[in-house]
Formats: sequence, structure tokens, C-alpha cells
Amino acid sequence: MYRLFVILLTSVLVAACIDQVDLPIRTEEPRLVVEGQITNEAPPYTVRLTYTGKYGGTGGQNVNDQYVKEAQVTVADDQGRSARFVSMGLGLYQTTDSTFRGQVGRAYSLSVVLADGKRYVTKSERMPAVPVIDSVSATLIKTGSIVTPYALSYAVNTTDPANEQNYYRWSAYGYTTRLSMGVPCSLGNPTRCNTRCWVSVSNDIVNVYSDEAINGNPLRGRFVLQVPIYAVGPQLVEVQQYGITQANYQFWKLYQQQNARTGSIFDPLPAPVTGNLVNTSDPSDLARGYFAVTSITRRRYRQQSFPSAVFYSALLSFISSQIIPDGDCRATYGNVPILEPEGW
Amino acid sequence: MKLRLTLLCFCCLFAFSSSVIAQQRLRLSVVVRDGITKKPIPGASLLVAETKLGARADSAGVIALTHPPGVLTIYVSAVGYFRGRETVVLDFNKRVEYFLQPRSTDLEEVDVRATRKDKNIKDVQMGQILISMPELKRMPVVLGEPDILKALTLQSGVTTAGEGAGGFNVRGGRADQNLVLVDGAPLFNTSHLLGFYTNINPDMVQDVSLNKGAFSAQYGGRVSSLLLMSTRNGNKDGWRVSGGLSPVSVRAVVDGPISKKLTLLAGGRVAFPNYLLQSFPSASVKNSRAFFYDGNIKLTYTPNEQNTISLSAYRSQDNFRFPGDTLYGWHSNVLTGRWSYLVRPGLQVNLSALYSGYFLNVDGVSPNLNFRFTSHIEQKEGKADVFYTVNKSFKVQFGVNAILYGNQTGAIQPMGENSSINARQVNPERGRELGAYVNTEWELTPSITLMAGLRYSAFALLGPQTVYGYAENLPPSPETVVDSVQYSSGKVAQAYGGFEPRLALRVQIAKNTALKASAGRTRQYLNLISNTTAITPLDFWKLSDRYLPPQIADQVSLGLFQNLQDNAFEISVEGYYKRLQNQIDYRYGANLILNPKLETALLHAAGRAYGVEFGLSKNTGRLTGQFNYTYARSLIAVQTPFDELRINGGDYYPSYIDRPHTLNMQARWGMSHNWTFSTNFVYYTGVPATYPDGQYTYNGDVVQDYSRRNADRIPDYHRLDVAFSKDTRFNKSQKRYGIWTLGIYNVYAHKNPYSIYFTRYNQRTESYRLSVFGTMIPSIAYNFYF
Repeated sequence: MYRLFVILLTSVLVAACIDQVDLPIRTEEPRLVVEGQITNEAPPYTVRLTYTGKYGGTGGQNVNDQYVKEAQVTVADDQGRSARFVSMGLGLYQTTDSTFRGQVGRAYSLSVVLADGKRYVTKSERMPAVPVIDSVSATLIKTGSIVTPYALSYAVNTTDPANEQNYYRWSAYGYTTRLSMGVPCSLGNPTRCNTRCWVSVSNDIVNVYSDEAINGNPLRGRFVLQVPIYAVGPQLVEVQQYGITQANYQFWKLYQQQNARTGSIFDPLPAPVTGNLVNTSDPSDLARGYFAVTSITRRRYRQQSFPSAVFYSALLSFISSQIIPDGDCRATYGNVPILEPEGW
Repeated sequence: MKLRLTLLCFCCLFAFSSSVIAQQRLRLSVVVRDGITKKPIPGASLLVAETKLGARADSAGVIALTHPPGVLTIYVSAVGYFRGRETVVLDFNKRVEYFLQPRSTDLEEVDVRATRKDKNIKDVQMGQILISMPELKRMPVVLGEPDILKALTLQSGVTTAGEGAGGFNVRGGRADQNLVLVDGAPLFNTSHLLGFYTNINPDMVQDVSLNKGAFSAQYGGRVSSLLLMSTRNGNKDGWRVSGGLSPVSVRAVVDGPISKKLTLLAGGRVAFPNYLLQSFPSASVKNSRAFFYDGNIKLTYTPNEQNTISLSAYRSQDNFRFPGDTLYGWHSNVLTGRWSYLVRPGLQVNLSALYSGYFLNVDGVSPNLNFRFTSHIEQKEGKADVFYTVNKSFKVQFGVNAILYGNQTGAIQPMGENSSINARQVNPERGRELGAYVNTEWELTPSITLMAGLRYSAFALLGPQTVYGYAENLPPSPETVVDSVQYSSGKVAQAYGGFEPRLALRVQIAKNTALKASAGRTRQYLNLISNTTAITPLDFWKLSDRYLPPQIADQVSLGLFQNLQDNAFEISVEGYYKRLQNQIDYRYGANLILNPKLETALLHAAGRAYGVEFGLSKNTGRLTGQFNYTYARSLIAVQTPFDELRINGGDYYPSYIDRPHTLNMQARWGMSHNWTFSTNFVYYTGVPATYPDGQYTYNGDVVQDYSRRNADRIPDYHRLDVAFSKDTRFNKSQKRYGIWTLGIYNVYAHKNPYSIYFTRYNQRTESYRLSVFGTMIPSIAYNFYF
């Protein structure tokens, strides 16, 4: 009997398994996709218009076919002012009127007329206010990754206003220090320059939150960005905190929900990630994506040294084990701005 | 004769007398018992050879009939027992105890489907499934854990959302549409371990019957099916211990007499699934921790032949912790009390008091945001039923019931000092449901039986309640609220009600052939809110309100039943059509949790389901088994005046449980040396799924577009299981014995899809299939009787 138990245990080890499969895939008519926003920051504002492409596992798709060309795009406010967007190619449209600037409390709507005459509009949305960022804090963490085992995790702290419903979204980018052997500062000069540079880091995590559960309370330690550590040196991050509308918040929740689908029977039901842009003559023709009306507040934060952590010595030994390559630091690590970022 | 008889409810007494002619006749009661266990045998039948009069035992094994005085030769028989013959001198009112010897050692004691050989021909009911408990323990199952609901899903017309999913679906109905009664009280959740197992311990259960069609007017409140499970009564003759061990759990049941008139049955099951979870390759499962238990206690007090009082309690508890953060806990409590009073033969009154509650808590652990989320539903019910056998061919049953619901769809509170979470709850709901019914069964001629019933149910949602009004020509949303009405405590915020007729007709067109038809309407004032394909313990219940009218189902069915070779073979064909009104569907991106305006997230839908079920079974001999094929469809259409909210344009589309072809085969072979071989084969069409049909870039990421719901299907499912079981008895009177069951689930290791999902890897989107039981799974289980 004992032996049977052993057989049982080992066989369960391989019980669950995952295989790649080929499935018949349907293709539906292309649908309009909109991505863009108007904010309380200075123009220009940009809208990107594309069509959904064929679902492609293997063949891929011709992205050029999907850009919306020759559309007439206009944004209008609740006081009768409007601004036109001009096509910049690749589906991008941009406002040119530098006097048309979004204001908190004003309502805005977008209208898109396609070359074939189809007209899409968004319902007018009022730009919500956004509370300022109280502070940004950093924590030293282990990432679990082999290449970059240590990172600083940045979090935002803010105070939620009690008298209104607030919906937040955050995005952030940052710079981390990297080293190289550098290049001679000038011909024949033994001192070396550009041994240190600032590699930019960002993520495209959808980070939204509703104050529904915490209305009026401080919002502490909301994670925004993780910046890996390569060398001893400063890190710089900029956090954008957006005040978004409830409908936009729901859109992002739907986006998160659908992008987190694993296909299991405990998944939320599949749904197209539709937003606020609707065909005026066919209300069931909803564009994917969202034209957002948001306000933005930004905060920069510079972390000069590493905060203490129990694994501090392990971090230092990781840093000292790094091989420092030859050459101009800015040319060594790919996407590095030539000029020092502001506040570095 | 020293033992008093026990009478339970559910039983219709088959008596021949009416009180008018009772003077010329004498009363004969026969208590039929198992020769080994001394337990009563429900459904045993008796035939008086001289007069050809007969009767059938009630659920307490008592056969009551009145007969003119004389010397009578009686034959007593029951499925799984050798037929007995006895001569009785009927000179005064008599009570006889009779012991039938089981055919257990040649392993024919098990008969899955019928308590009487020709039940499918003689009974007016159709669409009924009965499961025998001894049979259940010999079936091949995942990891050797006998499971009542998993056994039901091997029958025609019963399906689940997926392998390892909780709940079950009957004839295209949703999982919340099944009235699951344990000793008369409803269970709101039937899952252990997120649905992998059923929370009813099979050792405690005497019998299980599932009604897929129009069921008796005695029951209401759910629209698709009625699953009756009654727990055993404690043994009167002595203390016994039985139980079992499987790789997942250990179970034990103790039962016996506390005194001459009082018996006890107590049992429980404790699971140890953690070592199995750790063997999963996925880290989220591997580092999860789970635990569950369930327990039952039942006391039966029989002061005299007329009265039986029983009290039973049930509790099941589950905990499931995902790595690091969230702990889910859910438990069910059920309490029932019943007084059964036999006024005189042919007239019985049952009074019941029932309580059932289901509670969920979710503890979230994250810095500064620790919380506890809870939801629950409770039902308190009082019930009175009268069973009256007017004469041999006319039986009537009537009764009333009253239910109070207390429901909390969600509440959240902060945990710990630094939590920024505000305490908040959605308005709790209170509701009242009243029902009255009459059900008659009329044997018009020996070959025609008519069952006609009528139920009236009335529901009221009670205050305190806030009911919002929404702008008329806009889709309801939090922004389109135009007014709100407050209802104070106890005031009726919304009332619904209506008649529920139930009809069944049997026409025996030849000795072994019957044609049956049934039609019925059912109403349901509760909905399970669940935005996932399979139900989960996180789903919550919602009472009907202004925006959520009661679910209504109308079903008609027609069947032909044929028995061959002295009832050795049963053939049946049943067709049904079901129309469902006021079903729920969900808006895209619906926010269900803690939503005080839940109606803005819901859509109304209409459903229809139809199908044909073909069954063939062999019930006697060394080889027994059954073969079922079902063709069934289940469709749904969203009904809303707003184009933008329609799913698939408002057209009918296949629901998640639409499974056109289902084939089930089961066979058992009684071998020498008390070995039994049993096997299952299952094949069914893959359930509908939605695959991406487009993609685009958004926010720097590739997004899959799902524009048409349920337009695809996952690949078909098929599986073969086998099991060998060994009964350790040397002879049939041996009281202490064990049964070993060695099983292999999924013998040919078919990788059945549990789910299909799409992931981007190296700039390419690929589809993957996850198989949960994608290999053969051997198991060993031991059941004992001491």
C-alpha cells in the first residue's frame, strides 16, 4: 500500500500541464481605436486613431494599414470653443491652437469624422481636479530577477479630499545611474569623461485607484515605479498623478480586467475594451480606447543614496561584481539621453 | 418487535383503506429491514399472493396496508435483496418485522437508478435521477474522494462549467437555479476547495434524488432542478462506526442508539489538500494553502409509532489562502428540526423549522490597506406539509411555508490601526417569501396516472431600502439617477408573486412501456451574482428588487420509457423545452462588488434550452451499467432598449453551459473474490468560449479584442476512468468490513482543456491550453464499516 501512495504522489506532480495549441481564429470587421487626452497642461494635445487589426499569432500584421488617415478631429469645450487636430502621420493627430488649453471644471468632448463620412463623438466630460502629491518615498527591494536583483521601489503619498469622489491614475518614469570606463575627455588627455550616465526607466502599468474605500483619508505608499540599481549613484523619478473621470476609471478597470485574462473559468467574462467614442448613427459601434479628460500634477524626486536594508551588504557586493564596459556611457546602454536630465 | 418505527417526511403512504370501510378490514404494517444492518429498507414492496394487493414501503421502510382478515402469503422484495416469502395470519391489527437478506456478497446490492425495478414505468415522475451511496464509493473519481455532485454530472442533462468547477447545471439552467436541500433546508453553496469537491459528506447521506423536470408543487424557489438529500437516521440496534480515507480527506461517522427511543448520527470529514497544492507547477497554486472540513449531527427521537422528531445540524468550512496576500474563508451552517406525526394510516403531518446560512469573508493584506470583506445570506423557514392518501388511487398533499431572508451583498471594514480603508457596506436586504401548494396524484386507471399540482408563491422585499429611479431614455448608470425612494424598516419595497402549476401524466401503453409528459412553471426570487463562467465562493446572492424581477422558468417534457427482459433493461427517451425569463447578464466591465447601485451593472436576458436525452441501462446481472447520450442546447439573449449595451447585437447566443453533444457510459462488472470493476467514459462538446478576433496597440501594449461573445468553442472533452474495488467480507452477514477502491482517473491521459488562454511571448500571441487533470491520476481509497 505504501508503494501505491508513492506512485500517487509522484503522478500528481505532473497533473496540471500547459501546451500550446492551434485554434481556428475568426476575423471581424476592423474597429476604430482612439487613444488620447486633453489635460490642464499646455498644449499640444495628441490623439492617436487606428483600426483594430487581424488577430495574429504567426503572420503578424501590416501596421501601416491600420492608421486612420484623413480624419477630421476636433475637441470642443462647454463654452463653444473648439480646436482642430492636424494629422501628423502614423495615425497621430495634434492640436495646433496654443491658446486652447484644458481647464479643471470645464467640460470637453471629442469629435472624429472619418474619410468615409462616419462620425464618432464622445459624451462631454468635465475635467476633474487632482490633489497634489504630498511626497514620493523610496524603498530598497529585492526584485527576484537575476540581471537586476536590487531596485528602488517608488511610492506616492497623497491626501484624498473628503468632499468629492476622486479617481486617480499614476504614471512615472525615472533615471538610474550606470557606469562605463568612459572616453578621453579630449585627445591625449588621460582623464576620462562620460564614465557615468542616466539610463531612463519607465513602465506601462495601468495604475488606477478609486477613493471609494478610503474617501477623505491619506493614501500612503501607492506603488508607482521600480527602478533597478546598477551602480552607486543617484536616481531621479518623476511621478504624474492624474485626476480622471469616473467613466475613464471604469474604462481602465475594464482594460486591466481584460488584459489580465488567463482564460480560466474564474476569469471575468471577455469583453471589448470600449470607451467613450461612439458612432453617432449606430450606438452599438463603439470605438476601442478612450479620449480622456484629465488633470495632471507632477512631482520629481531625487534619491541620492540607498536607504538601509538588511541585505545592504549583498547589494554592495552585487554592485562591485558588475563588469564596467569601455566607451562613452551614453553610447553603451542604448536609450540614454545625451543631456543630463533636469534635476539630476 | 421491540423497536418502534421511524417515520420521516417525504413519504407517501400507500394504504388501501379509507376510513369508511376500515371496520371490515384489518391493518397490517410490515417493517422491512436489512438482514445485516437491521436498517429499514425504503422502497421495499409487498405483494399479497392471494388477493394480488400490494404496497410499497415509505422512506422508513414501513409498508402499511389494510386487508380483509385471513391467512395471507406475502412476498417482500427490494432492489438489491433476495425476495422473501412469509405466511401471515391476519386475525387482528398486526405489525410484522421482516428481514431481507442482501445480495451484497455477489455485489449486486448496488442499483444506481431505481428503488423499484419498474419504477421508471410505474412512476408518474420523469426526469429523475437517483444515486445510491454504495455505488458512489466504488466509482472512479479524482483522488478517490467520493463526490455526490460529480456523480450526478455523469448523468444525462447534468453538466458543470468545467472540470473542477463548483456547482452543476441542469438542462441548460444556471448553477444558482438548483434547489439543493439537505434534510429540507437549502444549501447556498456546495463547494469545497473552490469547487473541486462537494461539501456534502456522502457517508451521512441516505439517498439522493435529482429532479430535472417539473417537480412536485411541494417545492419552489429555484427554477431548474430539485436535488433532495436526506441524511441517515442513527442505527437503532447498536453503535457502528464507518468512514473512509482518501488521498484528500479522512471521514468518520458514528451512529447508534442513545436510548431505546433516541438515536444519534454524528460524522465529519477533514481534508489535507496542501501537499497536493504544493505539487502543482504554477507558483500561485503551489504556495496556496487550503483547508476544509464538514460535519453533521442528527438526533432522531421516536417516542411512539405515530411520532418522530428529528434534529439535524450541518456545518462546512473552507479556507483558502493565496500566497502572501489574500485569505478567503467561507462556511455554511444548516439546522433543521422536524416533527412527523402519523395521524392515522394514510394521513401524515410534517412540521419543519429550517435555517440555512452562507458566509464569506475575504481578508486582504497589503500595507496600509488591510481590510476584511464579508457577505452572507441567511434563510429561516417554517413549513407544514400534510400527506393524505384518500384511497388507493388518489393521494393529495398540501402545505404552506414561510421564509425570511437576510442578505448582505457586501461589507468592508479596515483591519489594523494603519489601514486607510473606510468601513462601508451595501444596504443589507431583507425579504419574505410565502408559499402554499396542493399536489394531487390520481391513478385514473391502472395505466394512467395524473399528477396535478399548484403552488402560489409571494415575495416581498422589505425595508429599510433605498430604491433609485433612473432617467428613462438613458442606460441606467450612477450618473442618470433622477430620484430615490426610502422605505422604512418592515415596509414592502417591492412585491412579486404568482402561480406555479405543475403537471405530470403517465400513460402505460403496454406492460413494459410508458409514455409520460410533464409541464411546469417555477419562480425564483434569488439570483447569484457572478461575473465568471464558473461559480466561485466569492459570488454573492441578491434578492429580487424593483430592477430584478423573479426568474421564471417554463418547462415541458415528453418521454417514452421501455423496460425489457423483466426490467433488466431500461430504455428511455426524453425531450424537453425550457423557457427562462428575467435572467441576468452583466454589462461590459461591470463592477459588482460593493456596488450600491448594482442594477446599473446588470442586464436582463431571456434564455431558452431544449434537448433530447437518450438512456439505456442494464440493472441486473454481473454486468450492469448505463449509456446516456444527450443532445442539448442552451441559448441566451440580452434584452435592453439600449443598443450600446446589447451583447452580440441582442441575438440569441450560446450560453456558457451550451454543450450540444454529451455521451456518458458507466459499467460495473462483478468479479470473483468480491472484486468489482467499474468504468466511466465521458465525451462532450467543448463549451463556448470567446477567442480574440482582433488586436490593437493601446497604452504601449498589445490588446486583444473580443467583439463577439461565445462565438468559439474549446476543443471537445473525453476521458476514461476505471476502478477496482475489493469488498473484504467473507460472507454476507459479516458486520465489520472494509472496501478498498483503486482507481485511475483519465486512463489514457487525455489532455482535456480546462481553459484556453492567449499570451504574448516574443512579440507573438499564442494560444495555450491548460489541462488540470492532464494525465492519468491513480488513487486509492478505503471505506470501512465497524
